[in-house]
Amino acid sequence: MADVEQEFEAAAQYVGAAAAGGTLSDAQLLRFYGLYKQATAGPCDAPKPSFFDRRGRAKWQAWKDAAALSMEEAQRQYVQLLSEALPGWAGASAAGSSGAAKRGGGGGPVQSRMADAAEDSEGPDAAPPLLQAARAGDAGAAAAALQAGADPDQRGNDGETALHWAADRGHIAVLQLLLQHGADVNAADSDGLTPLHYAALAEQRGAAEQLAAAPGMRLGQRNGDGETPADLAPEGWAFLQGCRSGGEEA
Amino acid sequence: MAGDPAGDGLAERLRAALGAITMDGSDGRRPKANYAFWGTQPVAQFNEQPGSTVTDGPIDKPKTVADVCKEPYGLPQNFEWVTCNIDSDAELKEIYELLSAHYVEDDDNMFRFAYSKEFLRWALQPPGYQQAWHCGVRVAASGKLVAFISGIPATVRVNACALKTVEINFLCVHKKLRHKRLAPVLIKEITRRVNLHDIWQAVYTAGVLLPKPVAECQYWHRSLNPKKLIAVGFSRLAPRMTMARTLKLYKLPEAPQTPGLRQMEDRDVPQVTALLASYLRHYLIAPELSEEEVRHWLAFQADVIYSYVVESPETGRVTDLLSFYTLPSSVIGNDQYDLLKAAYMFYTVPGATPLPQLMNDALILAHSTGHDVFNALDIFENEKILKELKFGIGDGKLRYYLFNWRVARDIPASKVGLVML
Repeated sequence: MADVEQEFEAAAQYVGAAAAGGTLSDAQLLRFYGLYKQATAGPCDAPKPSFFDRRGRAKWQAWKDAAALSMEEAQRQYVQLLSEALPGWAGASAAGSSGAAKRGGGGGPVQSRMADAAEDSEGPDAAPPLLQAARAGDAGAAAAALQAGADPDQRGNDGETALHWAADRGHIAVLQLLLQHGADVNAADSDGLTPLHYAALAEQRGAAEQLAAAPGMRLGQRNGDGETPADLAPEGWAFLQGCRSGGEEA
Repeated sequence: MAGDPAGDGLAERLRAALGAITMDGSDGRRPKANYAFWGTQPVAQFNEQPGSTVTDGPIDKPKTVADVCKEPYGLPQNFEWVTCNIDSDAELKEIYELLSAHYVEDDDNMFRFAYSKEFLRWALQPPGYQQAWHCGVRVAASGKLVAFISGIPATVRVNACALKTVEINFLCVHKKLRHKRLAPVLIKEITRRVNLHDIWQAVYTAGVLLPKPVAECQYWHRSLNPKKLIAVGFSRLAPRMTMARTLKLYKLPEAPQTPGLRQMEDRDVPQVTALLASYLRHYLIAPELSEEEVRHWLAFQADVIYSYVVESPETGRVTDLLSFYTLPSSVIGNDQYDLLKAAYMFYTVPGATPLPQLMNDALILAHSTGHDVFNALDIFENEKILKELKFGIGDGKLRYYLFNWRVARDIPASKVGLVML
């Protein structure tokens, strides 16, 4: 029992390092994930993530797939899976990290990162379906929402439209669909930022090029702080030139 | 994200998830059943019953320098001790290279501390430093430096006792040699060398849970350059937040807001020493710093230590102090960036200026000097102000430990007034 557990812990550490090194495929990582959760937390009782959360659903499914296993059996299968995928791991692990040097194990500071804020991805999503689809880059769902009569310019909490989301995330297919359905290319959010401002800030060049070329686009539009999209864009976006603040207005 | 076969960063997400997994397993939130090495050392143990009869004091029976072994501890065959000379550029470079390749990483192996040479000089050569406490191990045949540990002298007050201690830091063993169990030998050897100077206590920090922390503190991070932090995987874009809004949220003014704020200068040392001493009195574990030490630790040096004071326009007196140090990390395996430049909060004393304003100026200054993130612990009075300054909680804890000193009661993070590099 103790041996299985020890071997499992060593294997889990090894998988962590191997995952960062890119030696394991996504499919393998998902199976490791599912077995790990089953081995440490037991059966999955989390609700199924929303349709748009593709990663969340993949991970949730992997955990569910291991539901029939006891925790010990999940540990055993985890080690076995690693031994099949990377037969030399046990030797490499003994010679490599013992875990003691990680996170300053023997003394010293800690390499801490920002922890994910759980609260902003949990709880019901109050955004209208069209905005959710634009955020997720799901052109099918966006088309369905528009078909069902959704206003292409409906607003989210910050006065942003679906076009803002598509621009911010660089989802070109959704962006084109919205433009085809007459979405307002100059729509300003509550701070006066247009979709093109968003694309410039988020450095989504493809989206910015589409927007800049869209009919009716006013390139020199300023936000609440008096900045044009060109003011906010990275260097070298020649297609926005001529509309920097102080420059000639388009 | 380009080149990711899943097309939407699935691989990155899973790697991040797996990073979180190894944290569950090895971060050590619960004590282990036994500690092969630390169970044999004069440190407080988990199974000790806290009782009202326990008072603060040493754990070992009193010893004298005459009791200390004069010979170094034995090393595995083919290895030898070396005392590193920090003044030598070549030897400093060896330490720098050892640490750069083999020092602390995060659980996901994405970042590794990359101390600069100037930083190491600053950290390892405070007033009264002993060269013998810059302790290395070489491969006898090749001369290659493969392990290092350091101690620096410090007077640290713990509750009512001012202790002559060393601060132990930079324990590092080459990755290929981690199975040789060199770390315990390094710790015993530095202890011996310190004992020879009639010093019997030490302070050290670690992320992992060992027997037995005197204080447990939480890391917090404030994004200064959110786009880069997201690109390198230090933080992630909240699923329901646009990048545009994220950038707006963390945007900072270009210049500090407090009138009279300026770089600290040598002439400020006496006033800053007094200011610090009276502030640190409120904490249960804190350094006692001489003028000479303040001159060393707080002399402004770009890319190492940034120190500022507020000088009252009316009286010309120094009323406040703020400082942070620079600790970059290598970004492992990112095409776009290879270095993450982090500022860490150092000693900051609010006097005439409210702490939130002073800290906000620290953020502004750290941002304008090219730092990507500002890190702080929930020590001092920070816990009260971190959220309003848009710090997010970190995934790492820092534990403080005392060697050969037992405290009657654990010290809460808000009563910690000691910053270790």
